[in-house]
Amino acid sequence: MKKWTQREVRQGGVVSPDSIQREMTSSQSSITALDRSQLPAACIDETRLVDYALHRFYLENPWGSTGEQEAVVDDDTPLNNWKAFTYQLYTGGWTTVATTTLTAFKGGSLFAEWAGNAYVYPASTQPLLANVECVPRYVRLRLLVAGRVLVEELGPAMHEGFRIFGTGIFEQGDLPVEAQIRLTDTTYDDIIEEHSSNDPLCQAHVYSMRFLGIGRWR
Amino acid sequence: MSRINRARIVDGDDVTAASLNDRFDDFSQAGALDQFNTRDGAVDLPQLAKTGFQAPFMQVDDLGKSDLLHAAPVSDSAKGTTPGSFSVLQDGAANPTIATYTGGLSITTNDVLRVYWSLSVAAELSGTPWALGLQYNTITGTGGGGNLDVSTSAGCFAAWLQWDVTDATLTNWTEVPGQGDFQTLIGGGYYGNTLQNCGATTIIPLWSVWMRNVNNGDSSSGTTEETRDAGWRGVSGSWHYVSGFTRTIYGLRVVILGVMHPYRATTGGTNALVHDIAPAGGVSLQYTGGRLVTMVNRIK
Repeated sequence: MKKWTQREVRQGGVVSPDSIQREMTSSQSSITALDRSQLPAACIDETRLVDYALHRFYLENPWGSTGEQEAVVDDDTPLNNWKAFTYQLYTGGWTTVATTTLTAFKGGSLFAEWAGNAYVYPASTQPLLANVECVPRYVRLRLLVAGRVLVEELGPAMHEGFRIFGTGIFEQGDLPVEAQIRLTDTTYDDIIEEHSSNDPLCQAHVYSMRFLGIGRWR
Repeated sequence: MSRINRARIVDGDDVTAASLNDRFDDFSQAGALDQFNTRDGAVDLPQLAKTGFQAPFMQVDDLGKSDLLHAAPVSDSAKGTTPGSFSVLQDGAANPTIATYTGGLSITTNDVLRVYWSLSVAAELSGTPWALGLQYNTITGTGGGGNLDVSTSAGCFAAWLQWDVTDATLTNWTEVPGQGDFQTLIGGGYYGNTLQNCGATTIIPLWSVWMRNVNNGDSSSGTTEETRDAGWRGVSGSWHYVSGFTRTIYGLRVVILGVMHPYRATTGGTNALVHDIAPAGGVSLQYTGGRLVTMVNRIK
């Protein structure tokens, strides 16, 4: 903590510019740069904070225009299937199904969660004729923040809800967020089409997507 | 502003009453201190009042029936008429388990309402419900195997959130924003929601069916069907909401309906989740306990 009084003027002393100058500078410094030791406890409440001073929420509900993934939409599927991922159109690998931007992230801790429902067609889990182990079908899930993986999970293996979340420390800036899925790789024996019309069968879909992010800088 | 900004005193300056008084006035100005006087790091946790302004409200309520061993779970049968009427989660003695807020929970435009819930569930199946109604597609049989009906394994129960924002009598339940009631005619006699109206829906799986010894995507002479009921598992739901105006919430609850299945009325039609009554006779959903957590956070 800074002190105000630097010296004491005494009777009979000489008044020089410095004798005033130093006193003024000292006192000025003590006022113009208050630090945490000089502020009283509990002096800040909600009304004294500017917006986003301590934290900021980022919400997407629905995430995307409808909450459905639109990265792969195959409309040739039977009507009791969704128009979504098929092996005819899905090119494999991680596929981005939703994006957002954490505008004016001040730098610090980030909590992010991605929730929704996922469907995967499990019929091809054990298709091969002999001597090959089964390959369970999953909708693998991951969240990328500023190009880095925040959280990744094996994901649903049935038609069910999911929620994945993670925390990390991120830099200041407008941070891009990507939600990605990756289906279990196909084999040549997988069931990929319907009998009578040769319509492709839906292999996966993600919908009801919503995103919540909390940035905390202090 | 309280920043003091005056030129230095230098050799040769006259020390007068006026010049001294001007400097003293700098220190005695009204209005005191402002942001110019406060260091960037001056505000820390001790300076923040303990008023809970980041998370001003939090409440936990029980859902369903407390039954850790699943000795006598609640059983909810799939509905055999459509449009189907939902069931409210209950405690096994026909008492609905809901969240209520004394005097109502008021949220403003600066608030985020966060709802999280969980439940322990299991499918209870008889017969082959996965091979009825909308629940399957047919694949070609070659090499000695006939054409084969293969389940989509998409049959499910839907659970979703309702709230009462009218009054404390709790007689005016409606779906939360972004969520439909699964009572809309999609086409072909099937009622449900388009997927964009499933914003507060959690899907509960019922079964998984897979084929052994499929060859090149077709059934062969040795092709067999393997099935598994969806056993006891934890399911959860979440929902976030920012209101455009101040509103008061009196209650929240979770309701369920099954059997549901993917559907669209026509090629090019909108993806929907519809109520399929064909498998209803062989499907129930068992559940025991869970929690519903209500949180209000300041958005900024």
